Amino acid sequence: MIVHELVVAWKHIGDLLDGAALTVVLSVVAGASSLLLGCGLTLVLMSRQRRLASVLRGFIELMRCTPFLLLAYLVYYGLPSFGLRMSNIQSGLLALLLYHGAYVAQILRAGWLARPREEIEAGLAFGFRGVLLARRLILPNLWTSCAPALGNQMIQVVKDTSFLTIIAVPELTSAANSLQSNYYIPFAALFSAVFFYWLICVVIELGVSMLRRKAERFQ
Amino acid sequence: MTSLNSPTPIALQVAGLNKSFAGRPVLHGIDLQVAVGETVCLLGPSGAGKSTLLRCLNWLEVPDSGSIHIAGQRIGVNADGSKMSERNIATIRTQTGMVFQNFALWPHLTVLQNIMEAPLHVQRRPKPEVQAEALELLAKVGLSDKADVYPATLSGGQKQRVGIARALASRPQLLLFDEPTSALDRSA
Repeated sequence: MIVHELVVAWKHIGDLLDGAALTVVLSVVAGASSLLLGCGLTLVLMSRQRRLASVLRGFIELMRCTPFLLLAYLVYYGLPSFGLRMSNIQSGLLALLLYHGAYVAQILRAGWLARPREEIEAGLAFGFRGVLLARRLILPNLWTSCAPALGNQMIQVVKDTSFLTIIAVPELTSAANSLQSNYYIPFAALFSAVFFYWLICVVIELGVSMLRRKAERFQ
Repeated sequence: MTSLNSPTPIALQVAGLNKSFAGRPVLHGIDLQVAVGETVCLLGPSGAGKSTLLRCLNWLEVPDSGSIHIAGQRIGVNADGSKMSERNIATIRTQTGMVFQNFALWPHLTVLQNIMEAPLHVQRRPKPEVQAEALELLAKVGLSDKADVYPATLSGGQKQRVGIARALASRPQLLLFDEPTSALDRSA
């Protein structure tokens, strides 16, 4: 029985691969853009822009307490009420970006507060300030010391792409789901999807450990 | 703002400096004058406020009252009494060098990059000149062979010497040393 399921799944591996490819694209685009957004949010959170910072803290708090599934619904079904109409993929990407950008900001902010104050003070004492200070002396150390937590967050991004199946984004979970219902091979179809998710996450883990090894020289 | 070019024999002028932490006075009416070329040592038991005074001098710590002039320029407060912008404070800071108690080298940069960082990116001096000068300073503190290693691999005394070379590399008018020889032995 299970052998039969696997044979059928193998015959339709192309569908799964198409879904996996879209999952990879979604993860890369959403992951990279949420890293950038999180970085920008952190710079404001740590700056003297008190008012803007407290608005952003509110936004981050909101994202942390919203289930991602609900946010995906909200962006896809809710934003058209404000005249903002986007495709399924665009809506999904926007939801991922907002959600994980907030988490990345939170990770970077915690990492920033945990770094020795002297690194930053030494920068100030030699005339660094603002963006130059952040770009040259703060962020490079932040990326490496936060790499494990950011890696985990990127894995979370990959897994959250799975929710986008409910707004009809034809990604890996969606592909596996239609495969299982069309051919009635629930175990083989869904487990294959798990396997592909695992493969994607392994690549992220390898990337993070490579980064860590490179950073070990100076930590 | 007074001109940078006006020749002044006074490198540092401190008048009536007060600073307290949570209501506890640490600096009380400090007056201090340092001529160009002069070396002044602050001595006192730990907790006396030596580090706090040094950190006030380049505005890492903001004093409650009093004035500080570096090479004739008042730091932290504008001529009209208003708060000075970060930009202008940073400009004045480029004329000071500081060696920190716990060295505070930047961990992601090599020894040579640590020394070249401020001259290159704050003062925007040409790289060949900065690099030649940095190597010279490194030779002076006896660490030529450590140019390309990261600070994490250095001993305390070596870090301190790199810190000194880094402070000198910006060609400061005023050098601030916080416990400058805490980790050095006689040979260093």
